[in-house]
Amino acid sequence: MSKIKKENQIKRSNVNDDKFAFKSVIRSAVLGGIFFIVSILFNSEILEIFDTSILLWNIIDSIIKVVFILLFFIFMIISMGNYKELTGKPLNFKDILLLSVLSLIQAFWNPIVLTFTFAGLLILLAYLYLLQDN
Amino acid sequence: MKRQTNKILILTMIILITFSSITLIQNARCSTPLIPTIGSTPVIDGVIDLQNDEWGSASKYDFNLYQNLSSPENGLPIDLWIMQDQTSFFISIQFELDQHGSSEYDEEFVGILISKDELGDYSDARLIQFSNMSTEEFQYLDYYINNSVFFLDDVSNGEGAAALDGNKIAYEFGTPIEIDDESAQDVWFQHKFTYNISIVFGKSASYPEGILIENNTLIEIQFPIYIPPPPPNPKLLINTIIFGAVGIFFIYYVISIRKIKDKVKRLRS
Repeated sequence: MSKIKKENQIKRSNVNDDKFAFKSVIRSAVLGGIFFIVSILFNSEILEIFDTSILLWNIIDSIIKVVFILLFFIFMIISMGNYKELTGKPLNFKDILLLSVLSLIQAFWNPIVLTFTFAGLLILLAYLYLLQDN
Repeated sequence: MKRQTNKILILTMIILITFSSITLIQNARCSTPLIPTIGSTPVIDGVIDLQNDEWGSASKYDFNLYQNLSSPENGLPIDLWIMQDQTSFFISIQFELDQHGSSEYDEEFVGILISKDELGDYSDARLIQFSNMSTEEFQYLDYYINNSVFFLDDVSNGEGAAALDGNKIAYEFGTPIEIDDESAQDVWFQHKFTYNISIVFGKSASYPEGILIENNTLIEIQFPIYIPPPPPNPKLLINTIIFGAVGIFFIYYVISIRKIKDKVKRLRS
């Protein structure tokens, strides 16, 4: 294979990678945004669809709140990770900390949700760290 | 010895006069003044809007109107509600009569006679006079009283309305506070002043001849208390701060994505 052809192939492959990464940035950000809006509705306690005097509904309510915050975190960290990849820099500790804080403060009103969100974030960060390590 | 007896006699007389004057003052005050509560302005239409808690904050008293005040018996029980807002004083009088809608009460009236002081020298009268009870036609009248003769005011002051509901009727009066009537035909209601108010009822449109039953009371107009506007909902404020911060971060991030998009396009070209 000629040198020019090989270079062209590498260039095309890079462009495709960029395209994929960019699409991922946008799609993940959109999903993160959607989950953020849903999280506002539930965690700001604007929407109270469950009778929280019943324990079962209380648990379901808390689970929904935790899940939406964690989904926001997952999609935003994917989006930010790909974004950073496009800029050529890795996702640093500050970015992760900022995103973690922004996720945690959404659970401000409910200490149970806050505790489980914190635990969930720790698990997710540990998983992502170990995944990267491997 | 005689001098000392004189001294004792004078001292006793001074003490007696002092005591009797105190008793006289107490008699002049026919009762303890009623205190109107400060509340939200009611609509003067004769209807007590329970759904909106209209008159909900009013001071409420059971009262009786008598034919003869010197021997009060067999009185007509009425509900007397009084309240104030920042600028006006309001009275509601409610009572029930058998066959209230009948022609007997076609020309019924209820009024408040107002005295400038606590003594009961009435110089102002506000009346709600029905001309036809069955069709609920009435008129709010503002009179001034001179030597027990009623004269219609040049300018009517205040407002009044009444409405019959079954056999129960509600009269509502509203009058401004701290507005001096230059014609001096009205009693000038001032804060922290006590007024003697007589509530009168009659069945024919002639005053004072038509007054059948009455009773009086003292009412002390209160200083309007400044009610500060309710503080902004702290939950809403905290929510705005928390989710606003996340929202700002998200918007900033979207702007950054747009910038990187242009950069990537430039690099590709």
